[in-house]
Amino acid sequence: MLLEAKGIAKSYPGVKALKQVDFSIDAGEVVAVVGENGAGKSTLMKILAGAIQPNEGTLHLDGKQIEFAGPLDAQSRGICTIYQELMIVPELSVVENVFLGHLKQKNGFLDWPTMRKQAAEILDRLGLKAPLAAKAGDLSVAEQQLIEIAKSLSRNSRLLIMDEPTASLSKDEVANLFNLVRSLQKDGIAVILITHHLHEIFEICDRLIVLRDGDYVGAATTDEIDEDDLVEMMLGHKVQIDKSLHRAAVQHDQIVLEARHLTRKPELDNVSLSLHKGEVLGIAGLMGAGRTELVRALFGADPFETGEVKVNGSLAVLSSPRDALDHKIGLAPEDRKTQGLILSMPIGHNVTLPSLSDHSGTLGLNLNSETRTAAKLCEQLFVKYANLDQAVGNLSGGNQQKVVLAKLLGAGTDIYLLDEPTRGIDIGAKEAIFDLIWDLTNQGSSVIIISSVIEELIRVCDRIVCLHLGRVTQSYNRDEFDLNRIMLNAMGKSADTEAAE
Amino acid sequence: MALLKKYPYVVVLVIMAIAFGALAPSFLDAGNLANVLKQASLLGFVALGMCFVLIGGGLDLSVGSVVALSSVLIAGLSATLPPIISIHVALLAGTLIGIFNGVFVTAFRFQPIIVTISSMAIVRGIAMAYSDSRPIFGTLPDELFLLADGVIFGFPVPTLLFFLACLLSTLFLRFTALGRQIYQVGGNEEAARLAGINIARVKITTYAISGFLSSVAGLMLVARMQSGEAVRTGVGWELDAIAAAAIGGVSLMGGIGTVLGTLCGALIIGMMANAFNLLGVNPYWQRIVIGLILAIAVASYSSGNLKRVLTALRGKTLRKA
Repeated sequence: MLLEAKGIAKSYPGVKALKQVDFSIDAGEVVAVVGENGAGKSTLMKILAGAIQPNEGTLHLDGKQIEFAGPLDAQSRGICTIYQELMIVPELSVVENVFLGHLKQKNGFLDWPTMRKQAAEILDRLGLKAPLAAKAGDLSVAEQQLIEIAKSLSRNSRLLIMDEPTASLSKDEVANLFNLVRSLQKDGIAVILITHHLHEIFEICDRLIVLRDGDYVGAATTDEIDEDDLVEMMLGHKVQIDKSLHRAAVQHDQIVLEARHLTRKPELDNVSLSLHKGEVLGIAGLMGAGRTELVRALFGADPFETGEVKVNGSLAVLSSPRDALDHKIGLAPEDRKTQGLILSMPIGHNVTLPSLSDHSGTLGLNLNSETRTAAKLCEQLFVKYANLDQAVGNLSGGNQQKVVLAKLLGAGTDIYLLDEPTRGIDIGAKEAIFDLIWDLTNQGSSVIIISSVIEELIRVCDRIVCLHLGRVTQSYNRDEFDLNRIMLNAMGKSADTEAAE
Repeated sequence: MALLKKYPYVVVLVIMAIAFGALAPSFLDAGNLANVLKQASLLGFVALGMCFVLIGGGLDLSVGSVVALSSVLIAGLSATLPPIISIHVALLAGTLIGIFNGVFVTAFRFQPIIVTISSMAIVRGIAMAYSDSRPIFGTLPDELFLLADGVIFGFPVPTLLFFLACLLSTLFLRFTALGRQIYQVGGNEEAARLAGINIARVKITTYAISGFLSSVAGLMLVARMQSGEAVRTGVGWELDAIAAAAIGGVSLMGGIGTVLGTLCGALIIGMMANAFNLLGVNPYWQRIVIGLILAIAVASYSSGNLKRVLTALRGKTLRKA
């Protein structure tokens, strides 16, 4: 075995990130590490790369037990990681990037001839045609990724850890990358691949291991199991979802929001969907599936290339958030701290952010009416605060999210676009938000909600649409909800491929 | 202590005034204090404009050049035009320069520092070309000098005008939607955009206000000097204005700041210049002290640091921690 990890455990204060995980990889193998967000994949990768130390368990390199002093130590022993966020210095040349951190020197001066020669050899092997003197920042993402790989090879890497390497690549670029991985494999280099995409796992990997909530679930070779088995392993025997907790509003036939063939490549690819009055529509998908891009396009925050949006049956031009707000569409953005709130400003001023003009008279702002409205909205949403003049940044995550929703309520929203409204908030605040969603729909509003946690969508939604790589792969009505199937669709299995089987 | 926490700049201002009064008794003479106020008002107008731009998340380095352009335009044009027209031309020119700055920052998304460094050079160049780099002693009417030397209710006219501008600015920032939006855009541009706010309109407004108030400062300067001059006028004022705003608690990151703070910041800087002069301190020291005060102010406004400073002032050091 090239690298073997036995009984690895890692805990942080209050959290067990990894419990008794075994992992091994041999030279020339490609192994996938699979699991939901928060399953412990990153922690395991960091331990293998020497970035953090395990609390328990041992690492063995070439059969000898070893402790890495740090990531540099691991690198010098041939273990390199390529992170999703590429570590390229855009202003430096290709050669300088390849030898970043270990520039070759001779007699105290940089040894350019040797570096150029070695870089040319490595890049040739990787099939990168960019000139050595080109600025790395001028290259495409795929080419930059090749430079990252070249960086590892220039350190005589024997094990490459790749964290979601295909996240920002086009189809052709992914095919190239996989060809490259196969050729590295032939040279005896081992590759660990973290990916969410089913087809990638089954196309390129020899084996896989599955983690769930920090637990080691199992390992398998890719020809032993199929997609359904894999999803079963990832999800495990989850607690049966109690569908009776759902409170459906009266369903109307009237379509309030309709998107037709929305396209902005590569994020959105011909997405069509419709939202009925009083409906809660969930969007399931992995990060990068185009969920956020979709709601932002519907809100006029980002443009789309082709397609159209109808609001209440008539074509709407949504070229700015203001247009969307005028159509009574409101967005609770993905990141409340950087997009939803102005953390330095008081709670009250945040609540009235989109509706300030309602309190504006000929003599300027009516601060009393503003404060009254803000207080009423905060009360309605059970925001816990000491004082409306308190900076919103001092509130807890759940209360901040409620302020974001109060903002939308105050703006008289009819169509709510909620992007990950439950991320990073406690269970009580989550319940409050679900209750609010049901209240809103009972009053005739409509909601589109995005969540990475499919169980939440199953709980709260009337209908779920699955997105993968910017395409709708499947759509389910409430009586058809099935955790495993939705997960499969979110990971790329589409209705067409299912029909073909 | 609560006062120090809420209005640290007021406390610093009062302490400094008392200290200077103790060191140089003539500092507290009514005549001298009026002089301080008069001098501080000039920088005050520029600092007030800067306060708008900074709160809106921008930066305006062109203000000193606008002061210079305004001064030569008023002095020069008054040779042929009625002064009231030349004054309006100068104020309009300053406002337009501000609008240009704002348009380049918003429409083309250039960095404010680059845009306004460019306009700082361009405007200074225009002012020098217009005046041939020589002072212009215009045929200015006596009424204009009232702007500089007049006294109403014991207050110098420039000071009254500055205080009036401060009052109007406070009302504008507090009681109008546009004023509120300046804080919102500066506090979090993306959140403001997603709340349907027209970012360009708000930012251009702040730069226009800055250009306008800088040309008002130019007008005041002409009234006082009875001439316009392009080479030395307003040089370095952009930094003094930023310093005044920062001492007054305006955040260079945007979204935070008050007119009252900026007013106190301008008075602190003006007071120091005057007192150091009275005390016969080498003017180099003045720059050093302004630099130190600025550094201390900015360090203490970042909330964690402020807490530490306040705790230290109370005599409770954080040795336990």
